[in-house]
Amino acid sequence: MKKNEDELTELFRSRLKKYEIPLQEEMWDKLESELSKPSPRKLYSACFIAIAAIFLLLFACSASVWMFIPQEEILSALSEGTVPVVEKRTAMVKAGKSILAELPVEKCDEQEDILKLEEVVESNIAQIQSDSAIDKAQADIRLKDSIRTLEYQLLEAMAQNQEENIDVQFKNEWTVGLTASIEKGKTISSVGDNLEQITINHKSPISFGISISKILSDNLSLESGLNYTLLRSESKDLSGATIDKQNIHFLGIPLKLNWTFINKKTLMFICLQVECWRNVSLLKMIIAREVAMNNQSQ
Amino acid sequence: MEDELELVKGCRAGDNAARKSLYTLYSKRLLAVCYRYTGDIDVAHDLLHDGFIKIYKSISKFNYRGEGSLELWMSRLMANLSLDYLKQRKKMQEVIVQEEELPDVIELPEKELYEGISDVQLMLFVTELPTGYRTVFNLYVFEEKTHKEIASMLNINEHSSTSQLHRAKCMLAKRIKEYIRNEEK
Repeated sequence: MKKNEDELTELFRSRLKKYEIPLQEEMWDKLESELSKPSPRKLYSACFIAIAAIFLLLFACSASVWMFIPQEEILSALSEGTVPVVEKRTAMVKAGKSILAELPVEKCDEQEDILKLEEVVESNIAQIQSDSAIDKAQADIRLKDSIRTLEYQLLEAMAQNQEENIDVQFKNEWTVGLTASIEKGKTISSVGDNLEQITINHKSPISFGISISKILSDNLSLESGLNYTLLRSESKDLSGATIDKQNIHFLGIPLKLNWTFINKKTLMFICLQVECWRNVSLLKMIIAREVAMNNQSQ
Repeated sequence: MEDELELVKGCRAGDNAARKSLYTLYSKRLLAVCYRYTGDIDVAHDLLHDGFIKIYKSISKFNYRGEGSLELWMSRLMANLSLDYLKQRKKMQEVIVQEEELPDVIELPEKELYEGISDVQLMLFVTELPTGYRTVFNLYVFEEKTHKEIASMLNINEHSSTSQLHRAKCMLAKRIKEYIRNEEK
């Protein structure tokens, strides 16, 4: 902009615009050594990449374990860790019944099943003990073999009725979980108020929260919770100097309705997710097997 | 012009010789810019060091727009760095409450008299100004910003910018007169 310059302004501008102050040589040496060091930003990026790689590796390992390890082994692990003892024993009895074909399945309740299994085991023991040709050690081995056979049959029975079991396990239940996410940041160029070019750097949004979900039916679930998101932006001019910084702390209560419309046993899990503050969107096609694994705990 | 472009290309490629040439060519002038804003030569040296690291890192963003554009870009970067330093240390509020009434028109002695004052002495006059006045004076006189722009940059109102510039000029005129008077004795 043109100004009516006064004498004093003109004096200082003409004399000091190109003014120089002599420098010592060692200043450059100091700067040069600084330039040869790796920048903290690069170190930060390297750390970020390393952490991301570890997470990716863990995810890949988990996925491959889930996809390629035989069903029996997974179910065995699950049954050992999660199935209550009474249920396990009940199932053992059911499996035992299928082998021995002695007990009518429909008419027995759990307690009867257990008692009858105990009877079978006791009779086996008595039979073994009564046999004078076999010593006690051999009797124990045979008893263990017998139990192992029953257990194996139980697992097979569980595998056959797996879908039914899962339905029983998950239907009409509440789940509570923790969520955390970091998305990729974005840098855009813009024009400022004074027509100068500015760069706006939207840093990676960080989000975490707690979610609670109610499974309404096999295909429908309702999810809500509390979510905190931190949005950070920084605008700089061409010289790289910071013009403005902005931090937005966003606290929200999401409301989501999840509808699963294809749920194949072995391959796909496709869901339609409706969120109350966004448009309806076909969101994700997640390849999974039978049960979607996430960080939710019951 | 080609030299400037070659320097930029070399610095972008991480060529140390090009970096040193750029430093040798412009560091003295850029040190003066930092000193003019901060009024402290030690701080100016530190800012020059940080500024050059920033220049080398962000030179890929620089768009060459003809002769002098490189120096202008670097000079603005140093000025912004100095402003950031002053803002961080909250030195902008430094002003002097002047009891005496300020003249509407600033008068200087005869041109022949003030032309004899050295550049070093003029620089000293500027650096001795209170930080608030000095900042507005620098932005108006050397960066050629309008009062509206200065007000926006420093988060002050336009009237405050006008007033601070006028006070800065009054103080400088007074110092020049005093200096000439002392020299005549």
